[in-house]
Amino acid sequence: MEETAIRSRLTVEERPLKRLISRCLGFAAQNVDEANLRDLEIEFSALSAFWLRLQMQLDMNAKEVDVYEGELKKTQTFCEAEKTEISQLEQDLLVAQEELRKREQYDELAKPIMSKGLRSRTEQQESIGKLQDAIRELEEENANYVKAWNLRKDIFDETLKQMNHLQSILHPPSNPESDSEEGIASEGENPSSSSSTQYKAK
Amino acid sequence: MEVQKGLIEAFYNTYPLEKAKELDKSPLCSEYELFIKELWPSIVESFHNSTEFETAIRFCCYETARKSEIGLEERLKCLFAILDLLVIGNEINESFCDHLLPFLILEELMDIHTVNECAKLYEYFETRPSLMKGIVSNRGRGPVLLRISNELLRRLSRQENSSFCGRIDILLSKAFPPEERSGANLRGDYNTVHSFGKVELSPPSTPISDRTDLSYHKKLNTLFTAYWDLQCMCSNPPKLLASDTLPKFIDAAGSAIQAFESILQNTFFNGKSNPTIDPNSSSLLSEKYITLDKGFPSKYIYSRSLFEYQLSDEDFRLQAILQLIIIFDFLLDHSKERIERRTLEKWTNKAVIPIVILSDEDTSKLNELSKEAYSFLHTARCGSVQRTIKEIIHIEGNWKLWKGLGCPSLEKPLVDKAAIDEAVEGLKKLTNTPVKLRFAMGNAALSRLWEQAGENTLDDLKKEERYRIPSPESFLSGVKADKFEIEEAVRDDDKHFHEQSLATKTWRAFRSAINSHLQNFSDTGLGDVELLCNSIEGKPTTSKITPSIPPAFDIHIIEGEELLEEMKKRENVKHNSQNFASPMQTDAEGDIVQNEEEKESVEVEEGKHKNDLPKVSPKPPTEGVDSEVNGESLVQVNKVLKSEDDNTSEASKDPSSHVKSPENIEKLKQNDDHFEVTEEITSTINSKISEKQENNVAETILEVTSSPKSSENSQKQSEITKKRGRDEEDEPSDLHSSPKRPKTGEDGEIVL
Repeated sequence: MEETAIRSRLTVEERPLKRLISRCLGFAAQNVDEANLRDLEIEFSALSAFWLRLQMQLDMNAKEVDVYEGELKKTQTFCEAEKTEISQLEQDLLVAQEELRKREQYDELAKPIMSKGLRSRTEQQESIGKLQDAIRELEEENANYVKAWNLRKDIFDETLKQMNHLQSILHPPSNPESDSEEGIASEGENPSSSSSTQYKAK
Repeated sequence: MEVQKGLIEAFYNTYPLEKAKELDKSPLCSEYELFIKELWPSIVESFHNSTEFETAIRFCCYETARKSEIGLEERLKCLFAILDLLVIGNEINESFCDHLLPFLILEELMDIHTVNECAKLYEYFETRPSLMKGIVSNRGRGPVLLRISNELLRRLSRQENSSFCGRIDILLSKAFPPEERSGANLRGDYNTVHSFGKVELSPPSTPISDRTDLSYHKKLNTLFTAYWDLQCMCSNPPKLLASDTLPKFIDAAGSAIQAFESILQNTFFNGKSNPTIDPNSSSLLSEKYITLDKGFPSKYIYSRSLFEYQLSDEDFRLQAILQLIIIFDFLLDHSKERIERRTLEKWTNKAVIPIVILSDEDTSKLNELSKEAYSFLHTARCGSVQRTIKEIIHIEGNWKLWKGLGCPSLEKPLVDKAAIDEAVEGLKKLTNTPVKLRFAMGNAALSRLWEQAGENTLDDLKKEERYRIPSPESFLSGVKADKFEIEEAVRDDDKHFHEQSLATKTWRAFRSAINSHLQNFSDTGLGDVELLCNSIEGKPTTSKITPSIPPAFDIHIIEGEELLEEMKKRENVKHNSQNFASPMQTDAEGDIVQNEEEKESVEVEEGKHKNDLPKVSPKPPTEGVDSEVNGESLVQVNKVLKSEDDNTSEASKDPSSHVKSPENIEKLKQNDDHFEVTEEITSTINSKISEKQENNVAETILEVTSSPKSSENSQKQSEITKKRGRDEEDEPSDLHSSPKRPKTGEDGEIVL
């Protein structure tokens, strides 16, 4: 298509040149005369007009090419700017999504707490004070309890000793039954400990 | 350069440009033409030959175009003035100034100027319509114009300079006739230069986590691929007719249309977790018909991320649907129905006749799809767009037909000369002077008719008989004739006819006599015309009047006699009664009264004795009471009858007024007797009733006493039988009491 257009164009544009050539050949055969010279000048001026048009056409084409190149550059810069903006927006989207995920987790944790209902800070501090006092009281009770327990142990040991003493006085070792029983148990189970025998006797 | 300057100076010396511009404000006007004609000889003298003139013109134009300090509009005015000079110069001297020269110069100017400047420069053609007359595409100015226009169209962008492209097309359509073959596209070629390649779906940049979004995005991806495959197919319609491509096209088109319909019904975007269009929002209509600012033309922007917004754009959907409708129409041209129609229409352009024929299944599918597409348009734009598109497709069908017939000329053939001659002759016949009439008023024929008229002339109409009211005597002969005919008539029809004619004549005679002979009506009897005429003439009518009077008068006389007799009798009766009444009243009043009383007492006793007999008779005892009552009533009736008889007999015996008074007295006494009798009867009846009640009470007491003791049925039955016995025993007591009544009655009478 383009070649055909170019050829048709050239056929039109070659006309003044061919005309000039034919005129020059004609002039060569004729004698030199003022009229002939003027005609020849006219033909050359026509050719110069043709060339002038071609030059102007080239200038116009160059001008248009500059315009289109400018538009192209503008478009390319616009595309680059848009691409950078898109990439930045994507990064922001990822950050926002991560933040959203965290917020969702926080919401899941906060729901049961919020459902119970909240109290003011002063009330919270008062309750904390009360709890601390309760803790302190419990610790004191614990200490007292330990002392009481130790005291009871000592008393119990003393009573056991006295009991053993009374038993030795009242009942001499001459009873065979009691001795045999006690002896069997002590020998078999706990030969080394003497307190266990006392427990069993009771 | 010196030559150039010299030529320019020579041209401007002979052609004052400023003045030409002023005159050329209205293009190619008569003033400008005269101006040029005056200057033309000097212009021709200043230049050696036409070549020099043309060269000078070119240099001037190029010089003007190069001056950038002057505005574009001012430069164009100068150029247009020079071009107009060439146009008129051609009209003046064709050999010196060729008719192609302005077009050639303009072509060169188009090459020099930029696209935006050419848009202004092209106005020269639009503002000079005379240049377009007689243009032919194959010689003369036509090829130059086509060359200019095509070159411009090649330089212009269809997207950015669409209005200028339209202007060029409009000018060409005005310059060349519609049957111009170079513009007809006889082979039906399609513009496939701008087809784009296949669009591939790029992977999504953002990850998709939700399942609902997954299904939604899958749906959208399938639609994306289907839609852009459609665009590839639509870019070259003849390829669709291949057996492989058509089913794909049908499936893709169906899916696209369904998707658009679901978008219109607001159900397409439901699958998305964050929908672009909220289906439950109150501002549904505004979003439903959303139109983005610049739109997304479907050819160049086919990003997957933007596809969602393209679908929400109404213009995008409408454009796609229009495209599909046109393609459907193209494909249906290959159906059997249209091919048969085409054979009937005898298409001759074989290049346009299709080779491929669609199957019935494909035809039906395409018809359904086109219906769906039209229904979509109807719902989307309320039918206006639908009608427009149908009209356009219909018009295109006509153009197809024209092309198929080989692009015949649209000019109608000239009328035959014979037809024109016939029309001329017909017109002459109508416009010829009419034929003269044979006779005028007062001609010989009318005179002859007038003389031979006989009695039907104007003088005959003036006779007195025609307007004078007839006299009663004139009807007399007719009346007599009708009477004669009535007497001798055999048929009923004739009789009726003559009777009616007699009646009409009689009426008319009396009607005419009202004004002048009203006093004579008393002598006419019951409407007799003969009597009327006789009375009018003054003849004696006493002999005739007498026979008509007697019958009515006789009737009245008879009645009068009866009344007179009755009156006389009444007078005699009155006198007699007065004479007899006076002596009897003073003498016999007391005696008569006593005698009557005695008689009445005797009669009463006799009546009672008679009544006693039937009571003793063997009637049933229960009926006895009724008989007594009836007897007494009968007695009363008998008394009344007897009293009446007595009255009549007494009246006949003693015809006097005194007789009436004792009758009245007797009646009063009789009434008293009746009242006494009725009282006795009622008293006896009451006593009986009381006795019965007492008996019933006793029985009830016995029942109450016996009931708690005995509960057997036999005892109850015995009780019932006892009751019956008691009732029977009570009956004879009534018989005993009955004979006592007359005794009491007798005593009462004695007292009286």
